[in-house]
Amino acid sequence: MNDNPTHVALHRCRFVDYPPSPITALAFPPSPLPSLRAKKAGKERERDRVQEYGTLVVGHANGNIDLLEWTGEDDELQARQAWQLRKTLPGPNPSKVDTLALTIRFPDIFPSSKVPSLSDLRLFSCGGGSELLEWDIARNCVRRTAPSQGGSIWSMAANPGSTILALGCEDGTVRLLSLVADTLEHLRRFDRVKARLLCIAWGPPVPRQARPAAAEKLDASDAESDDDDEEEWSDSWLVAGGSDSSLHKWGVKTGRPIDRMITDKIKGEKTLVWAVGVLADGTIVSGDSLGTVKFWDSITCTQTHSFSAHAADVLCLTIGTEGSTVFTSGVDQKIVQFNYVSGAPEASSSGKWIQSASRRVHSHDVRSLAMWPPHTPTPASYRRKPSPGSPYIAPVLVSGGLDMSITLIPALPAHVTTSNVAARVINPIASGVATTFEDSYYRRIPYRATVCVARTARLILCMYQTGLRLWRILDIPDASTVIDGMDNTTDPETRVGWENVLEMELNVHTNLISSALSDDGRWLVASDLYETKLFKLTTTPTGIVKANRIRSFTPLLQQQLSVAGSKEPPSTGGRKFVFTPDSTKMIMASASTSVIVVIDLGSNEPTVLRQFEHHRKTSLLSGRRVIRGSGKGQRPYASHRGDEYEDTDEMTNSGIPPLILQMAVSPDGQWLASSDEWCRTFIYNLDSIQYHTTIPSLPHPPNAMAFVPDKPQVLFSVLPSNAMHVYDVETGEVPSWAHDLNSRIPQQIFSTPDPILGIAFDRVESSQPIANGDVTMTESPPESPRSTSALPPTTILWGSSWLCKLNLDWLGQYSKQRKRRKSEAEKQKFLSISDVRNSTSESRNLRVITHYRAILAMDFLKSRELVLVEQPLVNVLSKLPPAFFKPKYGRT
Amino acid sequence: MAAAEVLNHTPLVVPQPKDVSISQIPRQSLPHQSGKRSKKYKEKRPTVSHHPQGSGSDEQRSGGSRKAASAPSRKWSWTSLTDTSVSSHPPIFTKDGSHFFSIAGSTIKIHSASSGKVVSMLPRSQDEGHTDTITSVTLGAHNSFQLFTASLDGTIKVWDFLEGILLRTIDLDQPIHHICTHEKIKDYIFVAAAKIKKSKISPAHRKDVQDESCVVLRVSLNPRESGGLTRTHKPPDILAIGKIKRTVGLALSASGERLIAISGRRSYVAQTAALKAGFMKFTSPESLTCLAVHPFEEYFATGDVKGVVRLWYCLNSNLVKVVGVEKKSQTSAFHWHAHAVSSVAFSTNGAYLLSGGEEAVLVIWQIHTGKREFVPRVGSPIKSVVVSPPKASEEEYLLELADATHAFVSSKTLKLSRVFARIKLAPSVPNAFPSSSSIPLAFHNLSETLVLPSSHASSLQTFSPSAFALVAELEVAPSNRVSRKDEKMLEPSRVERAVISSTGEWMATIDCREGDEYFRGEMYLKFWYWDKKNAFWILNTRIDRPHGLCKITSMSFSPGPSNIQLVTIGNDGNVKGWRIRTTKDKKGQEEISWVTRSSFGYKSDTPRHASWSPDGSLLAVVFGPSVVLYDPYTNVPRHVFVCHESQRLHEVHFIGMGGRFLATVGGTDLVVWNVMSRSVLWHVKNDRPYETLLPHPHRDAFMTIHSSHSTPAHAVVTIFHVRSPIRQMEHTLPFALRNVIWYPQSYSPANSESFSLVGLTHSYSVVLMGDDVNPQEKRSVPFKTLRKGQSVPRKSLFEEMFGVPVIPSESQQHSRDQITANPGPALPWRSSETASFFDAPSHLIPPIHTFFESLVDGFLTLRVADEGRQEELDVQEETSSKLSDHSGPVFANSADIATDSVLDSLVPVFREIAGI
Repeated sequence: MNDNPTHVALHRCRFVDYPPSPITALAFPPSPLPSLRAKKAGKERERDRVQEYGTLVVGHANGNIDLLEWTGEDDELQARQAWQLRKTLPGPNPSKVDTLALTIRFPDIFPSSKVPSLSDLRLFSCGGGSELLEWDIARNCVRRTAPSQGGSIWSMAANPGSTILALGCEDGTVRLLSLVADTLEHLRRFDRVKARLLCIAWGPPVPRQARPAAAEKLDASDAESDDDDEEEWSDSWLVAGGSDSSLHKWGVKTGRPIDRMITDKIKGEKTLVWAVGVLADGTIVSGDSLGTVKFWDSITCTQTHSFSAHAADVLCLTIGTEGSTVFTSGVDQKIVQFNYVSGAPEASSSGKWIQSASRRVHSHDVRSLAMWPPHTPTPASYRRKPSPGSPYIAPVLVSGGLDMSITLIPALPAHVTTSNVAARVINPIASGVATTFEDSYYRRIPYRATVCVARTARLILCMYQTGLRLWRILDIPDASTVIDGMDNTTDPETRVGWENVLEMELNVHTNLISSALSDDGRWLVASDLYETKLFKLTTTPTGIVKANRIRSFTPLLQQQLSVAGSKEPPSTGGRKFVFTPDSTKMIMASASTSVIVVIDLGSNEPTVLRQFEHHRKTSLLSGRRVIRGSGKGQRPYASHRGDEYEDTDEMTNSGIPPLILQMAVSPDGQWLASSDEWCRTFIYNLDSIQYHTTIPSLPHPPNAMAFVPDKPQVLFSVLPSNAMHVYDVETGEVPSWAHDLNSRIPQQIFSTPDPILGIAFDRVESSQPIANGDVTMTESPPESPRSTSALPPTTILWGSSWLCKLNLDWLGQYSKQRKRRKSEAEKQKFLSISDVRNSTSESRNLRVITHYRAILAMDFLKSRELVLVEQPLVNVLSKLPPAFFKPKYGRT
Repeated sequence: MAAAEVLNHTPLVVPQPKDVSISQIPRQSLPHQSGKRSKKYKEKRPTVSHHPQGSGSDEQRSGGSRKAASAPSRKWSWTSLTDTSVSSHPPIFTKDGSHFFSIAGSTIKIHSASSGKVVSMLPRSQDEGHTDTITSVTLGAHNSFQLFTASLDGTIKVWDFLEGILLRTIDLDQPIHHICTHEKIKDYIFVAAAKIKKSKISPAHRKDVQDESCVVLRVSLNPRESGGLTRTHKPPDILAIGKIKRTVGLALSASGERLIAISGRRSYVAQTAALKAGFMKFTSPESLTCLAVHPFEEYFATGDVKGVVRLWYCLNSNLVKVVGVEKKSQTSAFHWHAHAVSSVAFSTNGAYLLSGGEEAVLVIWQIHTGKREFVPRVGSPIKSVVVSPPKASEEEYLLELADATHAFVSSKTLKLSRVFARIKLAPSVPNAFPSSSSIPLAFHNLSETLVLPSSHASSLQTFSPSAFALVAELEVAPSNRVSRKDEKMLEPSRVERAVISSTGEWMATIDCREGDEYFRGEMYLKFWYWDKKNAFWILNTRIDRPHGLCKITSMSFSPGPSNIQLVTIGNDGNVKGWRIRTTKDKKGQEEISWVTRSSFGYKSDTPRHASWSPDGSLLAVVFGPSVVLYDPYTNVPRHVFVCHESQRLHEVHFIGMGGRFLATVGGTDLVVWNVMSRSVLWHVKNDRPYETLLPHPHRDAFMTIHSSHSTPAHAVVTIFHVRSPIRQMEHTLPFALRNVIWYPQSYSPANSESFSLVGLTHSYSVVLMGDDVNPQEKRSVPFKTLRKGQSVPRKSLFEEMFGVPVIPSESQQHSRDQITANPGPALPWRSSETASFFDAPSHLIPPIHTFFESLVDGFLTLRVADEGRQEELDVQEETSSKLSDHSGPVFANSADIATDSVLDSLVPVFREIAGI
């Protein structure tokens, strides 16, 4: 192949002023309380159980709730990409999320050794109003609402047993809602205090009384099991921080305030207690608007420690996994760690809390902190002991705030490094050797945006919370100004290369969830949860774009989707839209029913060609994994899960179709691939408008899917862990050259903390048909651009903070003989090309470019012309209110 | 060092009774060793980059004589007025807090905590002291009247500091960096010693050794011999605990169960019960600089180079040794310091942590909450912080500053309560005086003080060599004391020159600050008037940019009291004259200020230097190769001497009282003219360029200074007589001088033939030198045996409320009675009853009008009218008041000056008293 670097013109678009929404709340699933009934902890401990990671739930200021799943595959304890976005629950418009609560749906039957998955959880949120929302995670929508009956809800906390939800209200009351048996009912109201309840926390659960007796009984008659309905754990008290410079403690049984703890005050002002937490031993931790963090004894309600840890308000607080650390953060952006220092072993003196370390990883106010694994406020004797020899997962502190990115910090308590598990500590996000909070490296999870590029029309669509914006990229006037794609500094022109052509505000019920633009720029579609809106765009000769809504589209869809079964007027919201490359068909995945609708746009009125309901069917599942070539193939692709999980999954999931997450259409318009939450991928033939096949499911739903332009039957799927999977949909098998693809891909790609968000192929204009698999390339360099058509396409993989170029010559070049030298290629970490000896071209095969930051979208407009939509974080942060600042010695 | 004995002068400062030793007066009674032995306790070592030991003047002198081949060359006698550089080891208090020990090179000074005066020194003359820098001092574990000192010479010495005798010497043969003891571990001492190779190292290599690793040892103190033996013997039992990098701190935990050592980025913990197991390493994010152990809880504090104070809670944990895992301690970090922390200390009650560093701010941390309080602007970077022992009446924090000042901070008021300074000369910031700029140095004859640069470049200090005390500090240019902005040093405004008129009434200073990207440069000429009443300089006139922003190279006042003029010479090519202008304001009061009188140049040459003829009738200015004589009243050039020998003259001086000769230096040339005959008298070419020339004020002689041929760091002083180009005398000084001025010794006759100079060396020590300077006599240290149980008199309630009364309390009365019982009249006041009167609770005191008169009578003194005895009595009173005022201000500006003869006459009297 040619040694000359291919020049690619790059449009570095920074005009998209997409405002990501600040993070307001973070939550992890609670860990189930240990069962007192089956106190065979010994046996349980013996079982070498795979460490699981719970879902990270992120609440945004615009009302959306993101669900982030762990990207590590089942047996991996480390994942560089950590948690990545799986799906978003669109918030009603307008709304916001202030607090989140996750509870276990059926805590009494949930096994205490398991980490609850999404289907086992109930999610509650409230956003400053008086309405409490419960979310239907499977259907992606609000399940039910409940009024607080006491004004605005300021705080919310579920008890450790997941049976009661406590709301702290504007009027100074704590209201309890019963969550028993998947219900949501008002249970009782506590006595009023004269303050808003800004934060709330439950005291540690008390094990069923007469425990020693029970234990004896257990010893005596081992097999006997108590089947009485009495709850195993009961709650004794809860504490709430108020706007009256004090914390109040209520007895749960009586509902009466037991005690009041008064914090520091400045004269004339009331201190707001923003955050409160309770440790397993009952110690209450509070953070207030003066920046003080106080530790209280829960029995006497006296202060034991006070730290002026922050220069400004403490907004959030979380307790470390073992209960020996506490983290606080707030307006001054510092995350401060408090450590419990145990007293001398021989002396009877108890330990004390120290303020140990602080880090600043956010540029603006930190609004929420969360810890994985979560802290269980049960006494140490009830806690599960790790089996000896098993790896010790360093806890991860998750923080988020106004600067929109989530930060993950390994936060191992320092004293563990001198204990006997020190050698087995594992950093789950693989950010380095150091795992203590002070020294570890942190990871950021960047924000994402929905941006769509119409290639032929040279339009860029960006979806906002409720609106759409359209820009046009102007042509590059002269070939001489084509600049090196790798170098962004050489754009000398003063001409404006872009223009804003359309701004739309839509009347929506929820925030927009999806939008798309057809390749020729004639069709624009956008949808919230309930309604899809289709627009026909017309461009006037002066270049003004006008959008006309196709009114007949909604009834058409209603008519189609109502067939799907429900009586009430069906929602016509679309979760995902794709247009065929010739812009004659639109494929829509419906938001709540997971039906794929193929719509013909070629005629005057859009007509529905067909709808596919394969995603609604659960019959194709076998152990949550599709067996390869389901009908004919016998070999299971992968089946990691044990049988016991299978049943519960089937049970809870029955009736609710999984959401369709990704769709892709092949460049020749023949194939459609769609994948859903359950990791199933179906292939449809759009020529015949028929279901074609099912692809073996992958460990995770893919982050991006694309068909290769040269060989439109080859489907690329990229997982959040950056693993790539290739499938030939025509033959229904993995191409032979792609079997060990992931082992040949440079490790550098896997080690990037940002996952691949998209794949772009340099489109070859006049493509000579390349026979599958056995064409050898000519070694002569091309004389004219025309002859580049003979070259294999360049693949650009991009994540939020990086992009890299992979040469796909191996698609045609990789002979079997080469493949046997796989180990060598792997060792050299390069993607094999025709000329192995040429080291310069080797190095060019993978080039990671990191100087574009926060890439929102990227695509080829035409061959050798790339558009990159970038939004520097500085631009986003500059729109925020100024961060808290305190001058320092020697600085002006 | 007590003030009065340093020079044969009457002190300005009132000394205090318990500091002035009784035994000091009969100086001869002490066994007076000569030569090598005595030099050890005289800290006359200059701070030049010399090997600490063996730099005594004797060796120098001998070295000089060896060299003397052509000219009559010998060592001048010289003495350094400044301390050696401040030890990084903090001073330590005696158990009762009445005294503290500070390390000065290879000696230990014992200071009184109340007055800051040096009451004694170790070693005494009879004992062999350390031969190298003392690195660590600690009190004995089983006997708190024993002092352990460790030194780089490889020995640990045990002293009885009450008697001032050396008890024993433990020779470890390795440079020792740290020692520590603990009350519960009486038989052992823990030592961090540099690890050296088998070969015995020569002192010259010792510097390299310091960078090597250290070994921590446990050394047995098992007294096989009874105490009091000074015989050196190898201790029987040495246990090596572990090898670590160069230690910066070594301590035992509060309970004595753990041994803590810090070095580099690690802290090491070992169990004293199981020392064989060795150290457990804990990592720190930054290099550690200092260590302190909590007084009763099991944790310790460190400071690091990034300014973080860290508490380590790793002493309790069950330490499991896991190989290959970096151990982390649970730590608590306090961050305020912007630069490295130089010292940390815990308060006695364990609730507060003190830290100090380059910022010159003492930070007091409340450990429990992390709240902090500050004692800002203590004057100079803090080197070490010590807390006075719990037995002292009030807890005080002793700061040792980088300029060798000891400052006490009261824990109640958090203010500087007492500051004991000697010459503050170590500049607080490393580049305060770049070698290109000049350093101010002047002598003020009215107050007999030296005007010196202070530790901050924008201040001057006045030091009285006779009283051996810092008199005052004068902030010439107001400046903030932030030392650095991030890592970049801030350019302070610095005083470059200071001259004082011959009358002593006026001082002119130049201070300048170089411009940077934010500010323009500044250059001020300031005139200060000597306020006789307050004995202080008062700013009279400030002239902005006297020569634009060009450097001023020379500045001098016209001699004589009348028609006083100042001439300045700048690099802008101008010679400017300044005069006094008298204006009357509306009320008719006269105001005087300085204005420009004239400004002139000569051709296009840049003037270099100007000097006045002794009678002020001629002004000689050097322009390039020529010297132009001006009539200062009319500015008419009278004559031009062109020097053909040298193209660039840089200094010219009139020689002799008559002003008949001119001497100029330029490069390696020295030319002497006869002004009358307008001819060159003689010319000498030297092998080294001349640095400066200084005329003798009375004789027709002058001296030149140039660097030594063999060692450029040494200065060679040559004395010439105008009559001949033959060197009269040549002296080699073991240091280079940055500025030197004439120092009129008042005890020597005015027309003395001898030379007497004061100079500033490159290492900022102030050196007195000359023919008559006799370091031997002046440096002798008053010895005083510390008495057991001697303590600071506790303040009575009255004293706490109203301050220290003039009337001494009973106990002092007794001591004074002892002194003054014999000679003549009894004390003129009897007030012990009145003083004790106030010790009673106030509600028991009768109404004040009932006893007012008798009370006031008690206070009033009755003068004895006997004229004949008056003089002696005055002296008596004065000395006695000197002796009685035990906590008065250190820099009292008392003007009473007794003459030498009076003191001499007193010597027999005191001898009588002392019964010797």
